[in-house]
Amino acid sequence: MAAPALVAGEAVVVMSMPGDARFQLNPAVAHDGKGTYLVVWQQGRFYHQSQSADILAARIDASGRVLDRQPIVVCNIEASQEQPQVAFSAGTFLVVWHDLRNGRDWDVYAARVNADGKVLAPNGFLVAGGAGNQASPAMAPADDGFLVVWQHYDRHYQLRASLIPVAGPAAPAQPLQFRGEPLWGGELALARVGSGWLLSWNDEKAWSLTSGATTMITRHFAKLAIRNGKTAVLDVQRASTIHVGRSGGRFASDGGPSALYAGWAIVGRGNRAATAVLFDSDASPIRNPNPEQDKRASGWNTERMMTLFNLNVPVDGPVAAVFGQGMYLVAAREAYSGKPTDRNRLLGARLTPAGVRIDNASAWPVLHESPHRIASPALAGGNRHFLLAFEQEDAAGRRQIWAKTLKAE
Amino acid sequence: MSRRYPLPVFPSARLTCPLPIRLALALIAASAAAFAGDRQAERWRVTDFTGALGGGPDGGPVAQAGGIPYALCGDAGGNLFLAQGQFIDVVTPDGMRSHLAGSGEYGFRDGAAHQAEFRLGLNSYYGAHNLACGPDGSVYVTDGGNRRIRRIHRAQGQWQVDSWAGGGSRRLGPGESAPPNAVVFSGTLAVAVTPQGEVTIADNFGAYRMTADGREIRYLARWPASAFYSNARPGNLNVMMGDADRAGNVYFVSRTPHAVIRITPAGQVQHVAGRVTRDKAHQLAGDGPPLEAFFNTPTSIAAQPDGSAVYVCGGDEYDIRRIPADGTGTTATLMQNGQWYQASVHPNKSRGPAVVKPGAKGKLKPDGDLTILMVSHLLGRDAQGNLYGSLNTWSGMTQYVEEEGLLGTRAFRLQRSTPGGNP
Repeated sequence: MAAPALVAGEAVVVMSMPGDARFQLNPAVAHDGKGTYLVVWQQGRFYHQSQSADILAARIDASGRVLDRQPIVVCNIEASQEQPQVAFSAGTFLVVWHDLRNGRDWDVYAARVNADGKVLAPNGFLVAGGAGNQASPAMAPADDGFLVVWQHYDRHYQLRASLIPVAGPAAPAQPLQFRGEPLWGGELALARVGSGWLLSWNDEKAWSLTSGATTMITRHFAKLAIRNGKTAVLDVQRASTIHVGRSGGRFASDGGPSALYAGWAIVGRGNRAATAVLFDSDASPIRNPNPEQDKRASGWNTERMMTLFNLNVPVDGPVAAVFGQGMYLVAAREAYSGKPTDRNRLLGARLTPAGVRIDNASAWPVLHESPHRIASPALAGGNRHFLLAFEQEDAAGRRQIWAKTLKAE
Repeated sequence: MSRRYPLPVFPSARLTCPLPIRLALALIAASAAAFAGDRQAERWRVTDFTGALGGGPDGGPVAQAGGIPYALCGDAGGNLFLAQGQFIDVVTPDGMRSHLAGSGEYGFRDGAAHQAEFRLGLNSYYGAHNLACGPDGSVYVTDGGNRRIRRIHRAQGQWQVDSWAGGGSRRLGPGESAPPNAVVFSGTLAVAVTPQGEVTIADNFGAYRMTADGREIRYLARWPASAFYSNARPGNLNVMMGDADRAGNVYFVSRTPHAVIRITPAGQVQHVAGRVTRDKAHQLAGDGPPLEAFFNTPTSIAAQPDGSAVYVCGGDEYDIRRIPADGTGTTATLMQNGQWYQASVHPNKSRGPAVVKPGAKGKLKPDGDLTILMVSHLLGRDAQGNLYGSLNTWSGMTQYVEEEGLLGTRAFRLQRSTPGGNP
């Protein structure tokens, strides 16, 4: 049976801001379950003596129409605010980011945004502060709130977590530990799976060559759950192969019994490949059900991971992933090789809930194509559609956030 | 789900040596005593720099920031400039790191620094590129993918990027001059700038020098024949990086052939270090007279501003080698205790774990406790002559310092206890 077509709506600029020449970067998207998406992004970047970034947002409906004429200002306080993430739970969007407002180091801030696009605490509230960086937050929905995990600096980065309810103050920051040992590292990703969460991070502190090749794998996964009102780490494991999440990745979760972790890596001599692992309800990796190309590269094990595209199709990161309409959808940028004549495309890869590839190798959906440069795809799943947001330049090289709907028919 | 969780393990990348090499290494004994002069008094201390383990945010406090730079230079004001990905970052004297130039994407665009685009590491050998800090605060960048030397500078209160040299179509011959943007460079590129502001550029075939006002570029000379294999046609050097000392001597390092080139203030081009040989026995040679020492595919170079030494590192040279700049005496290798020793076989053969042992004494491995200090690549140096190195994934990733613990960063600072002045 032929795979259903993925029909793309018209791509639109989420928020044209003629008076603000700063680049729009790092989009993130969440869906409220009723047909409204919140797209958040970083307006600008921390440049020496010339620029700082703000956190802005806009709502988009199920037809791909932007609902806000002016950007929702989540935070525009002096100094830089960067790397926004967004999730939806119990009627409220939560936006988290790291913030340099104290002038010394990054702290984690958050702001609730209601369905009308109103920011309930302008410029946000502090989630984690104090000496050293509190940075790079990852977030997923929880019962009546959100779980936020971030990096806490103490010469090495420890991982800390806090539950943030849909109303009221955030729970105190809590170090994540497993069997009395702190979790260390960064490049976080977090997803809701069943009644708990799956956390992924990169721990180079655990690097060792003496204990065998597997200890060169620095990507880790942990199963989290709430126990006695606190976030407990139930289990920890290394990535199944070195090629999973080498350059970071993202989860897609249906909130049910499985989750897909998708990332990209340079494999062998310069091959750029997107790889993924599907986890079951017990957070164990599921054996790859797909046939795979052979690849002569150290650690290449396609029983324990899957490729999302043919290895001849180079892609780079970040890779976006989502579950919706009964399938996983992954978006990746066809790798830009530095030549202006190259095609600028976002490719899609679809998987069944069991991880079986839906699309034939020669016919991956082209989610977006442009004569101008594109980057940083983000995805959210609606009831009958997805929303794809991404950075795209115009002819003058100015970068804006664009969005389009995708629907399987 | 399996229940494996590694307790923190301190790294060790010790390789076992075949018996002949072990015997040869035994000959290294007591070599430290053979040194004379300043190098014996030097102590190098390894500290955190940037590229937090596991990754950290872009910018902010430098030791807590993510991203491992490839190249670095420092200005007289204490600022450090880093090339990382397609960004040029700055670290101000208060330790705050932020982007200075680049949009993060490959491309070519001059103008406002935050919108500028580079193709760093393209059209180069093993991704090589480097930075050079000028006396007026400008930063010069080798943009191999665009075959240009780009300049980052402040004009009318704004940071700007322009094309300082290259981008034309004219190929110069030795002694010929032209406007800098009229010329085309060949192959790999490296750059150095003297305290007088003269920019010297190396490409595959030879060296160029620009006037300090940037109005003219002159082709100095092709590379000397001694820098090539004896049975090969003189031609290409794969130049990787360059640097200059306070006196205006400029140095470039080539990876394959493995040679260090000096260009004097008067414009003489000289092969000053690195035996160019395919002879396996010669490649095993350790420290010795600079032109007899073998450097194994070096990727990086830094010149001590006071003119006392040049350092090479990288490639299969997992250590910092010291070359006396005046060409007399012998090369030396930096050991785990932060002191220079003379190795009688190539130090790569005595590679040890990435552990710094400041208190270690005695003889070199295998007789004693000393092995080389593991450094995969030298990013560059600051104005005081402190060096900055990094560890690549395959050669260690982490560095452990006795009594201080595991470094928090993959790029680290090597502070010299007897720092020199600004170039």
